[in-house]
Amino acid sequence: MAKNSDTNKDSLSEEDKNKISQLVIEEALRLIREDAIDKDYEKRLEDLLIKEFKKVSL
Amino acid sequence: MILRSIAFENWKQIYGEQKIAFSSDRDRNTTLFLGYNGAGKTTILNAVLWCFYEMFTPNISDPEEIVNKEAQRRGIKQGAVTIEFEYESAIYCARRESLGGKKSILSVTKKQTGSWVSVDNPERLLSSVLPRSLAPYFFYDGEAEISKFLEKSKEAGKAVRSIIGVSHVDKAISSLSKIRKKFGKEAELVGGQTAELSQLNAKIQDNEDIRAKLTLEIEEFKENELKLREVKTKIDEQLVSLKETEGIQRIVLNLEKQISEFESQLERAKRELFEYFGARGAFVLARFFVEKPRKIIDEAYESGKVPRDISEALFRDISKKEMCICGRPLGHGSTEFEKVLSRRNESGDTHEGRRLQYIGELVASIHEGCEVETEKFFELISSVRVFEEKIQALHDQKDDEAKKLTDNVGREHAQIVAEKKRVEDDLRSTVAKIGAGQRDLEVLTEQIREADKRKAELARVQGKVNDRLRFEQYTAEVQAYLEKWIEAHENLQRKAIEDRMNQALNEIANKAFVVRVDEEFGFGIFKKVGDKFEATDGSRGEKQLVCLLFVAALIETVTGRADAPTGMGLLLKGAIAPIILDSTFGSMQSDYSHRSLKRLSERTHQLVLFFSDQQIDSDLFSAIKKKVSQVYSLVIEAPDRANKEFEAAGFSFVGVRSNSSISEAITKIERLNYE
Repeated sequence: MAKNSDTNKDSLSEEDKNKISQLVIEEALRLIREDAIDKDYEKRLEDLLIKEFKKVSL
Repeated sequence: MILRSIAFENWKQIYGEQKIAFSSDRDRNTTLFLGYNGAGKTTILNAVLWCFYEMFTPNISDPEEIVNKEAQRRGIKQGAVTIEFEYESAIYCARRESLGGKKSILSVTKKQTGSWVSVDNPERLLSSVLPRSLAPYFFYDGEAEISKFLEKSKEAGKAVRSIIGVSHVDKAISSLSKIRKKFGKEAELVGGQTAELSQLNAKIQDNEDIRAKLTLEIEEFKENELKLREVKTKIDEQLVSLKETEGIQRIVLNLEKQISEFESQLERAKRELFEYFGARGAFVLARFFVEKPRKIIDEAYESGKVPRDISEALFRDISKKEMCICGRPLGHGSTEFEKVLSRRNESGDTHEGRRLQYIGELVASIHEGCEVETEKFFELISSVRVFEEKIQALHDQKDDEAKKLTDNVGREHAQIVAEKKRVEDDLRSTVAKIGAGQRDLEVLTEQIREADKRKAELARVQGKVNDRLRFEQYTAEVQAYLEKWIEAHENLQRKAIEDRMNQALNEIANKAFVVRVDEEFGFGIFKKVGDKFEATDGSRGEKQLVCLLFVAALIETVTGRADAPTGMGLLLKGAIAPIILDSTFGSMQSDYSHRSLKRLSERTHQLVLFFSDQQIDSDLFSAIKKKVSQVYSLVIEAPDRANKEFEAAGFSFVGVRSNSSISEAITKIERLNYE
């Protein structure tokens, strides 16, 4: 994970943002394909984010 | 999606059952419908819109009257449209049946190894094949007011967003926003516990300070006790040395020895009682209190039924308990507790209310299985009382002896006796203070231990807070990234659509004018004046052309995406979609309509066109003839009276036919052979 030099606060690198954004979009597409109800979608998205954020936090 | 066929059952002006096939060959992809005004061209367009989306073009008459009037006259109450189509190499059949008025029901079946299998959630399937918001562009009503179409920039923007998949990312962004807030809220929730942590640290520090002070005080009391004892021993020695008081003094000393022994036993009994309360007294007392709540509590505080010096710690302890001695949880929410709480709520914030609240806390700890503990509580209480009574009796006896002592000593010794009394009082008070201090010390130590335990729990919570705060920040970063990306992607697609429209205009209108699409998807027409382009309102025909080219550009965008990969570059795979154009070329100059039609037929997968006699000529037909495989004539069949009216209106070709068995005009769709 990259450090933001301006604020000296941990933030996602461009690479991380791109990767996670792609995963978010794929999840959105899966929603259409699998005909998932919205509630499930948000839960899945939240789980996905937590999983990915934990990875970049390590 | 490729349309294969459409079947009507008593639907609007189509009486009985009629089915037609569409041209679905990629090389000969065009189907023509020819008919006079009022023959049913827009009815067929509406049948497609109704079947797929339960919607109509704006100008349709009697949208609620679905069932054909002639059919209604013959007692038929249901109309239906069935469309067979191909989608992603599978064949589907969508059927909508009217249920009276505006109500209808949609079903979709999929052909699987020779049989038709019902599709769950047919609306969603159709929406994924071709979103409803795109329907007006693909199933296009050329008779709709052009200026309105051009003004509906928001709608056009929505259509483009839907095509490039941005609407799905919008949904994702909205969800990200919700999730970000949720992370924030969770951090806030556990953050409340962070406040508790700092309070706890302060409390632990306070308690440590109090404990240190108390320990010091106890040490001082102990030193004082030693000193007082020494003084007392000296006084006693003095009194024994006096002949006249020797006998009495010995009795007094003996009594004091007994008192001291009983006091030690009383202290042990109290300690046992205290420890019992500390561990389980709450439940015992709870049961005891509930039997006679008001009386017992009052007595406990006021008449010392519960030993007064331990009552504070005891009651503090009671109100904290939420688990029975047997391990059964009996916290808030138990039936007993709720009953008392409801009474407490009825009582309001009164003395009675507060009392009931307190009892409620106690009731929460009741357990029938702990009857035996109640008995033990009474045993302990009685044992304390026995010692207290014994000590009191000994004190009374000692007081009597002390009186004798005073009576028997001379005036010169009265001072010694008074001094002894004072020292004894001081000693008793000091010993009591030491006992109370030590008990307070135990309570404080227990509180510090509990607080340390809670502190460890909160430290774990603090870790979660930090996680949630970080996740909140990350989610905001991903959200901002996606928003920025969407904007860039949308601009790119908008520019691509503008380029496609202008490329077509170059071919069709010989660069006579260009179109600019602004950020809000507003269309501007610019005419060439000299070397420059100037903004113009455009003629009706030019507006028609711009609209048609926008539709064509949308189709090209979709078609261009058919084999595209998904991902950040291109979101949704494009769908091959048919395009149905109803009377598009009314006001367009003929060279524009010929060229645009030719371009459309070459670039779309499937084209369905509706023409009236005013809109088609041999040149136009020649331009697309190679692509046409099906031509249908929409024939108006009317009873004699109606026929005469049509004839009077100038219709004299096959498009109008007499049918004496019906009472109202109907549309017959007939395949037409053409040269």
